[in-house]
Amino acid sequence: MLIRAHYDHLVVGGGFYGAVLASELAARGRRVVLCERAGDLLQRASLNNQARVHNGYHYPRSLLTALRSRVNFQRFSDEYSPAIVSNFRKLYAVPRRFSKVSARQFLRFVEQIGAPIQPASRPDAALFDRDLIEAVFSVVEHAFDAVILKRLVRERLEREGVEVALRTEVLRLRRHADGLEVHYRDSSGEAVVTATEVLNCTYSGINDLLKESGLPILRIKHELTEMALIEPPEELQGLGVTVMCGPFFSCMPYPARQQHSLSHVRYTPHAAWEDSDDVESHVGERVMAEPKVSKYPHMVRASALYLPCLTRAKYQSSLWEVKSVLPQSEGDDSRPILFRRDHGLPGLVCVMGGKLDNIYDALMEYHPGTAVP
Amino acid sequence: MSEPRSDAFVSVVVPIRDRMDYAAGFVREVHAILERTYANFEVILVDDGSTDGTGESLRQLLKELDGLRLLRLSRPFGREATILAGLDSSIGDYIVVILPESDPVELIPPMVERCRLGSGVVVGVEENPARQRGLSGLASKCFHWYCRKQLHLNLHPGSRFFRVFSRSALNAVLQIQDRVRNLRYLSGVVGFDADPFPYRPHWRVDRPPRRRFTRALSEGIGIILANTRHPLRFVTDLGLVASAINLGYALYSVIATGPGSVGDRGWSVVALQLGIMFFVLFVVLAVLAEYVGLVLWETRSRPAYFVAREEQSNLVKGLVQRRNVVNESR
Repeated sequence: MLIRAHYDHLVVGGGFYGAVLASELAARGRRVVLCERAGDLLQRASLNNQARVHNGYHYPRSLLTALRSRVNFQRFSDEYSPAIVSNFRKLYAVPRRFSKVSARQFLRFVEQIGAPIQPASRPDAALFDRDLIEAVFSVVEHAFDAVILKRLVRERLEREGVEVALRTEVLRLRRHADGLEVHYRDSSGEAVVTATEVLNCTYSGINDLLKESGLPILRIKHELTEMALIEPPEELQGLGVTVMCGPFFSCMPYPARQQHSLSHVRYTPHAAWEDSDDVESHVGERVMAEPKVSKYPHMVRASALYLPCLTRAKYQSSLWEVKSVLPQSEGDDSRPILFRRDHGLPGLVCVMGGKLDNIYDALMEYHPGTAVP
Repeated sequence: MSEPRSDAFVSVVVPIRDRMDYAAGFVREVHAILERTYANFEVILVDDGSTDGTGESLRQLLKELDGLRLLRLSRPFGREATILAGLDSSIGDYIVVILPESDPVELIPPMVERCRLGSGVVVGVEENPARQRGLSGLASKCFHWYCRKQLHLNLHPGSRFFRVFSRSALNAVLQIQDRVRNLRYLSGVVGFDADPFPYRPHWRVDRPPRRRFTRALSEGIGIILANTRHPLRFVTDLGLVASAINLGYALYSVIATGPGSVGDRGWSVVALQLGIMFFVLFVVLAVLAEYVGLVLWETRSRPAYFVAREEQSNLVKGLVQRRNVVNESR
């Protein structure tokens, strides 16, 4: 059971966004509780992703996202430095065919955003199929260790005095004289608490809470995604590779498991759906619960055409996750965060971010002028 | 169904253009047989700029069948380029090219099996092809004889597009960056054993299209020009011999125009000589022009095709039947 009967802020969802926002609010002297349905923090999309700290290279078709990502890269790397893994070389390769940017355009774009770039070394470039790859560049990009990140986030929550309620599922919200009435369920059953403000940070579940509360839902598109974890061939040890921009792939260190991740633009998304008023809620959970067939055989073959040594990779397992994006950002690959105050009810804030390192945009949105350098 | 499915990854490339009446049915047949036989497969439908609604019917299929990919070319680029687009984007260990109008889907597993057992390319060859008669038959015979003797290339008369590549053979074919592409020829040129696989085409159209003589002639000329300099050398020699003879004749006429000579024969002889010379000259020019054209074509580094859109089927159990579910990512 939650300790108090009323909180200043109740944060729903113990992912990275929810945890950081809860810490920030508590640092301002508020009484904050963080409710997480699972038995631990940062277990879903904050864990099941490429562990890439973006430095702008990924967005040749959205200059704004690229520039923001550059700013956030430095800040994120400094703030979470114990979790940052930078002991690998990072290559970006541009294919001759089917790519939405040419090598020249990519180079010009990277120079425009002021990120470091140079031609890859000869042995690195020789890893790629010369007929299919136009150019290979060496760049600076980091990865993060999600396990260490979780530790850092948890330490900060403790330091700031946030009450963390695990195995606590928020069921629905109702209007109340003191703000909002929050119905939740934990090991001791269902109960009610009030909060002046509720932050809905449940990522792919964001509409589930809205729907259960009888509130209008947000336009969000979901995808069931698969990322393969592999033991890379010797040549790829200490190397991260991204082939872009089009139906290509990324293979980079996944520090939390000491393995490499392999994801392919064509085969990582398994299905897509959009929330709407006449579809039941919790589709994502149901899809996650269904038996799934890995597309690793597709991923590795499609990737090995460009990077032949991948045929010697050893498949370990797959990480499955529901990823959510705003439909408006699909066309240009920009990944804006969603931030909505008073959505349907006064005091209800909905936050959904696409990338961990965009957290600073969310903080700035919450406390204008204070959170961004 | 009790037999275990093969672990080979099979890609099937289907070039389609304006086949509204039977395209969807054909794809269903292909899918059914692949699903029975292989654990992993993909069907790459390449729409060569159809305008009769075929594209839309194929898009509907993406919502029904798994493992489908649809490439839509930006305009019609012709069959060779359409197949090339499919091959370029295929990922399988064995890659099948199959034409919806003529090829029997039940032959896919035995042909793949043949390819697995060792040959780099298995080529579908029409059983008892209709005998070509007259000029066209003679030209065809000459062409195949020439390819065999001079280019050391066994093209299998009656060979069709229906074929299976192993991944290594396909990679070799795709490395040949010629603009003038002829898949039937390229399959042979990479040097892998091309294994003929006789079969009887299963026509899904009422009247099988006849290969027009002019079309075949132009393809044959294209293949020869793109791959050998024999014709160039032949016309150089021809030009030299003809000018030598002409020179000799001129010399002879100077000597012979003496008193009491054959000079009276006059105009007809001159006309004949000029006629022969001009004929030779234009043969030389024609061959040169063909080669110049080829050089021009090859030096333009323009892609053989443009893909306007790529879509794929993405089906997950428990999600398909629900309303308002999109299965493809745009």
